Amino acid sequence: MTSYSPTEAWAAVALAFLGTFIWRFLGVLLAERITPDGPLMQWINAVAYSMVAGVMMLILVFPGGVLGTTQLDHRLLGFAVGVVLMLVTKKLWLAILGAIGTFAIAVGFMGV
Amino acid sequence: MPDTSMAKGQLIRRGVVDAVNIPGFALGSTMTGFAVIAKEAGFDFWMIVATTASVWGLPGQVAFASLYATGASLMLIFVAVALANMRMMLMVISGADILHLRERNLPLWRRVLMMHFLAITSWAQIGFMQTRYSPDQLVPYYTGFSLMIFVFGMTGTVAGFFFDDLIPPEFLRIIIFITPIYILMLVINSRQTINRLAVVIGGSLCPFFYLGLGSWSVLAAGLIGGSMAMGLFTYHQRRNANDIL
Repeated sequence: MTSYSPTEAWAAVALAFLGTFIWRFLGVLLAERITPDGPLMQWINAVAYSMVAGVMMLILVFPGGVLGTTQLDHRLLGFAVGVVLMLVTKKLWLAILGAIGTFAIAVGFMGV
Repeated sequence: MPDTSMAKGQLIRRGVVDAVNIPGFALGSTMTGFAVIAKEAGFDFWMIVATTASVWGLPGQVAFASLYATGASLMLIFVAVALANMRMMLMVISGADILHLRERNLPLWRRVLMMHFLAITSWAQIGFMQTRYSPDQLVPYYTGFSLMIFVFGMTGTVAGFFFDDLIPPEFLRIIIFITPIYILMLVINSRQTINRLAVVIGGSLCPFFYLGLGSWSVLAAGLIGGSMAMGLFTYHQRRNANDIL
């Protein structure tokens, strides 16, 4: 199935590590140089939040693997229930329970 | 109000306990999902374990396994993983700021090691817990939480490799749904208005951007969402200030 030699396969793992490590390392170095509570730090935080929300929404809307075998409207329904419960009740456990429960029921009863 | 009376050990335990809960099991299952994908892609056991332990960032891991399955060049793998995990830099800057790391004068290797365990779940968790603990208390809390999440992630990875045939996909797909939901619920409830605004804008834009931009969509939606949130917030503040004057 693979076209990689063992050396190449491990080189790939090393490169995947490096491709992540550089960002963490740069982050540690830059964190020292940015004024806390300044506008740049505020912007970095906002972009980080925005990116994380983006990645998670991509997983919800275009999932791979087994999650990809479920329907988009079921996933969005679960998500919507979670958001409403979170905003209304401010209880994290209730929002998660509501979202997952709704999703599980939708997937279980309305088929794949 | 932050409770200032807690000892360091107590805070580490609090972090561990919070991890041995929804986030730990959810992340463990997500890593199980990764191990299943990676095994299908042709990874052997040690490669899967090494990838989870050294990359420790799911979007990059999934990009790696997907490209590996297609026999892509090593250069392409490096670029794709780097692109998928680029937000780590911003998360580390933000995480180091939440934990007030600069005031702690830790050696570089300690800071790098601490931030190695920072992935989306731990970052979102300390952001959410800012209202409960002071930065000094958050450091031991983060240590306990992030290490325990790592243990769950490694356990989930190993379980996925060995028991991929035993885990019913009907069950796994519901469990895997928990991590994105958990993280979205944490970030949407972020303490600062500007960050909540950034979450709404970036989260709404990203899936649409994905259709045209593919892997670049996260970067684009993040930059636009974060900048727009900042612009709107600053504009609103200025207007309020003018009203008062």
